[in-house]
Amino acid sequence: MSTGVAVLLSVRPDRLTALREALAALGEPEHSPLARLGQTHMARFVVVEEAIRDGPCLLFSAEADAQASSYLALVAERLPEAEPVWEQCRGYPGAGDPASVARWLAEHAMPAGFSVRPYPRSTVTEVREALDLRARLRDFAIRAQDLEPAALQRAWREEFG
Amino acid sequence: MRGRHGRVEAITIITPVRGWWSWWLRLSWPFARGNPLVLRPLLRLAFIHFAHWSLIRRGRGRYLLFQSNFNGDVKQYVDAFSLTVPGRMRLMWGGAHGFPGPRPMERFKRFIFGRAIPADHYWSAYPEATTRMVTDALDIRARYGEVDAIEAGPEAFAAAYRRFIIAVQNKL
Repeated sequence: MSTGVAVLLSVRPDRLTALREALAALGEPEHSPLARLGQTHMARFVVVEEAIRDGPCLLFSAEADAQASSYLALVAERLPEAEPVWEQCRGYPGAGDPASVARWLAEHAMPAGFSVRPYPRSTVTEVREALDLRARLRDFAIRAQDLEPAALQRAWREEFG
Repeated sequence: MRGRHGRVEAITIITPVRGWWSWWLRLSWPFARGNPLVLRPLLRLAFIHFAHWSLIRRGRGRYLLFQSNFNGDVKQYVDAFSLTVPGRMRLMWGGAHGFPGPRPMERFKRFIFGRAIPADHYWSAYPEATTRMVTDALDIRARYGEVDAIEAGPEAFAAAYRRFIIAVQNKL
């Protein structure tokens, strides 16, 4: 079962420019370091400047194939590119100890109250495999439409082994 | 474009809500979760990958956070909420400051877009896929074994294959 993970961190107003620069340095989506977190369906970083009266915040959220605490431990361990982002947030314990960073992130996590998820039980791997299978089946169905049964079975075994 | 990766787009909305409304949400959400009567019309919208509503408490302020990952045009997305599930929108945002109601659509859209915050970084593990493609692919994957497991001769295999293709043709 996938989980909606969301963390809201306070940001010092004098660090907003540095924060945006650090987020820009994560690059375009095609090159995002988030791709290394294999359990991530989708994820976002959002700078919340004015919507919350207490001051600017950073929202980091993801749909993940893990419970929130496990996923945030993964983020702390495997996303060094996020360190310049976390550095702009209040209370960041520093990069030396991923376990401390994971605890800090978890302390600021918010559970989802209500969710809409059409495929909550499918992992990222299962979704990708299913999409790949769908594409291969579509191509196969077109190629195989006029095959005699024996040739069809041979072609199926060659394609899907 | 920020907040988009391939065919998948993010929307993030934060609205201040009245204190008593936050109580309503906290009490009603456990009943709404997993309730088909509540979820079915939202799932039928068929362009949402994942959407979440959460409560934020900051000092004395209470805020409703809405995040969605979806396909398609964001204006049509908001229109669909207004047109097809107005009651659920009222049950979610009814106590938000400035909420004009789900209709008329244009006022609802101004409320939503006036509070939408662009993502600074967004990523999807399957950016080329719409929600429909994913759900169709998962349905196909579930049935694929019906054909793949056939050990019989060519005629029996071909018959099973044809049945399978007819069953999933609208999902390919």
